[in-house]
Amino acid sequence: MALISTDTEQGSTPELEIRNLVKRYTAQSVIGPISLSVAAGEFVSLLGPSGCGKTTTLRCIAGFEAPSEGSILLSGTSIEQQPPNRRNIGLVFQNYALFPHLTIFENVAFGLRLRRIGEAELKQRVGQALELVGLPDLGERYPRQLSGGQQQRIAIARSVVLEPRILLFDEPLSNLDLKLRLTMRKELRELQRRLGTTAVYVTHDQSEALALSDRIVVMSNGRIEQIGSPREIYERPANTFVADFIGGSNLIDAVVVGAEAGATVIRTKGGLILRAALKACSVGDRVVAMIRPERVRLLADGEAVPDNRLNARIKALTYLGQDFHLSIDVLPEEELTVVTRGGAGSALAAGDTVVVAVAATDILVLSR
Amino acid sequence: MTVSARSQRPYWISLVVPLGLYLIVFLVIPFINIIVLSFYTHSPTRIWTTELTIANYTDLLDASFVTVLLRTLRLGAVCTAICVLFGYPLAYFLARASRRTALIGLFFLVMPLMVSAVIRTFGWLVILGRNGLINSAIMAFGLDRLPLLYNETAVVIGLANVFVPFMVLPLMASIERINPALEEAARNLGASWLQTFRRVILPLSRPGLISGCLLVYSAAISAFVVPMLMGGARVRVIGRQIYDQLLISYQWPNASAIATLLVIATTCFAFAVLALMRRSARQEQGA
Amino acid sequence: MNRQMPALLQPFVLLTYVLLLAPLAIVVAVSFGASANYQFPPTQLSLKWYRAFFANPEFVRAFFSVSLVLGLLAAVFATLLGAAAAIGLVRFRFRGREALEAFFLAPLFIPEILFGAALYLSYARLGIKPSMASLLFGHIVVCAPFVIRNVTAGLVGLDPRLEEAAISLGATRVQAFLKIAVPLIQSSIISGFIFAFIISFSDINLALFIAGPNSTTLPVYIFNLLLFEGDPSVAAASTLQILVVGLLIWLVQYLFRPRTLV
Repeated sequence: MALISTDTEQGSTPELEIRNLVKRYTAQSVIGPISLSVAAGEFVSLLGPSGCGKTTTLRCIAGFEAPSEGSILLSGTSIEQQPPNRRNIGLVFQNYALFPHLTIFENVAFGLRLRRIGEAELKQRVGQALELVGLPDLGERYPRQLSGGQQQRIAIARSVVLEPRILLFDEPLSNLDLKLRLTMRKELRELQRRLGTTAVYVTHDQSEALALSDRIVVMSNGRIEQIGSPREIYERPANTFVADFIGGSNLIDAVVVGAEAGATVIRTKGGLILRAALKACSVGDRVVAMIRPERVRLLADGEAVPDNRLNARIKALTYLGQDFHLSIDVLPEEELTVVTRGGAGSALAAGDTVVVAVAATDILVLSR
Repeated sequence: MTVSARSQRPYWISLVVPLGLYLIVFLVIPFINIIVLSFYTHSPTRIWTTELTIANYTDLLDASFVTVLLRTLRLGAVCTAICVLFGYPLAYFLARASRRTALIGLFFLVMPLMVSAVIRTFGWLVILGRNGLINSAIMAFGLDRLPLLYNETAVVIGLANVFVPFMVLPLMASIERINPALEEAARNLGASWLQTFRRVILPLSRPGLISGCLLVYSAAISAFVVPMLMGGARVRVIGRQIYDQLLISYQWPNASAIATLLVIATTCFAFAVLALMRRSARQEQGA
Repeated sequence: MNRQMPALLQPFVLLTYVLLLAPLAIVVAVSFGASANYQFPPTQLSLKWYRAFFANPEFVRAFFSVSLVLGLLAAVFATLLGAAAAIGLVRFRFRGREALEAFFLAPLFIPEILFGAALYLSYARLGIKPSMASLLFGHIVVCAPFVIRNVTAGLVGLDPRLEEAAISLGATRVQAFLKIAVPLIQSSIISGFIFAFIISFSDINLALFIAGPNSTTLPVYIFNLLLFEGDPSVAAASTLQILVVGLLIWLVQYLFRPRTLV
């Protein structure tokens, strides 16, 4: 069952509220219903694979798609009837969409000129915006003379100079290379914090969502799977989709066989008995056990653990610099992926037998 | 895939030469002939003599020809303006429409273009004629029929009708090159449709607009069939002048002079269009 | 994705299409009318003008023996010359290539009556009498650029790695071109051929200057009839022309889907 919290933390009027948004393309292709609240100053990510509806939702907020049903409210006022040029919502595009025939200054000044802001004030505000994104001297250049990262910052400056109520980001960093992406990520978050503007950020990159957001909205197939803080999403995924999409996961079919003090006992398809994190369920329920690869511990010789001690044989070993990825067969015939850091993995080879353990609290029971 | 000329020299010549030679014989030489002829003297008995003169050009300075020239240029300009007015929205629509709609729209644009100008003008004759559509309707109300044909307005209508596709096609190509996200960015920043058009689409599609205008203007000032059918004897244009002098009054040197001037003008336009097309193609690659 | 458009755009575009196509629609309608004075809309429907068209030997000659034949011949030669030129221009880089391309495409920008006048004068100076052949030579000049445009577009879109793959498997350059490239661009060649045909078939400006008494093309015949107010069999002839051109363009679009012409 999806965890949908439509209340904000403060309980005051949310900055952005989406109520039962539905967008119908064909009889088969439907997005929604989607409901969501974003508090003022919050950074919320819409995260999911391609086609999950995150970009459509964003474009509905911006006004470039009209919802088939439902409403969108900004500070309590319904805006879905408003044309996109009246909503005062900033939109940062994936490919920056800087006007190639205008200088950087004119690009940033574009919205201000439309509002007939006086020349002096305009210059000042543009200057401030350029300073804010760290590019104060590029006013006279043209977009094609700038690098990708610089263009992205100018795109942000252009939206931010209008002091919008909300900033929308449509996968803004996906065109940048990895190192630049990581740098821009930090800057973007700092910028948003400094400005205090509410932000809705669309991405398919889960590490980006985890790093940037106050809350993450995980979407798939046009529906919301879970809304929660990065920690909640990662440590307590609501269902197997979220568990699998965020971070690595081992997913094992199992059946509930009993309950003990502080734990639910399950039996896996292969016959393993495991003590898992406590969850409200009945004996006989069919479930999926979720174990994060990095929570499987390799035991030293003779080490004792309270539960879930398993013998295993290493099927394959992959060296990834920081981590070792191990595929191990936990007898009988249940394969797990394990991630260990540094020393623990370096002495091992394929074919070795190992002993692993998983704490009960690290085995999550999810409905099937 | 291009291959360095050095290793392929014998081959490429054989491909390009036939058309090259053919064009020299059937295009270049006839035009050189016209230029030469424009400097010959008219003779009533032998049509022309090889005596060189510039009288054919100076003759063009007389009032009657200048009237015809100015009228032609004026009609061409009005026609071009109408083509821009109707062509821009159509070009934008086709450039941004879904693929299926664009295909259908292109069909209904290109099909009239390829049907002979005569037939398209025929239709307007039926609409504007003495017993045509409009006059029949007027007479049904008991009013006198209007002389809608054989005036400059009719000619302009006929010209615009024929040449709008010439404006739409290059404009459409130009607008297609504009990233649609730019329009959304402008609207997101507060621009209305008109403002988006003025500040984003117009400047970025200028090459297409200029190409279209030059193509249309060039064709309009050399038009002959449309002015003849829609304007009759009252609206004389340069094309008609050339035709009459060549095939009716046999004033060949004179006709050659007019034709030469027109050739120079349209060649300049053509170079401008080609330079524009080349520049926008290069910009696209560099951007 | 459905793009948003300004509200007034679609009605205005529709109006533009109505204005563009109304003349043609009217001609077609008139051709089916029973009355002899170009009545629109026709109160009685009849095929008599079509019968009159086929009964008129001049008309039939102009349509089938002159325009059709001329169109086919012009298309064949324009395609041969134009396709070869296009291949040479695209595939081989040499100095002056852009200038040569501009030269080959020049007839697109030269108004036809100027070209017609030039040809007329040259023929006259050489004492050549106007005939179908003399018109054919003119048409080839005008039609070739359309073929060049189409074939160039097809060649440019061709992935050179396909021929490289063939060469890596043992083909010579020429073999690779003939076996791989030519079949893949055949749609461009065919659509170029069709356009060349249409240009020749619909031409009026050149034909007015260079056509002789035995080589009156259909558009010229229609033109003369319009000037001298013939009967609506002119409309029938025109409708047939519209039909031929429309079908051919639809064919090109349906089979080969070229996106733009210019």
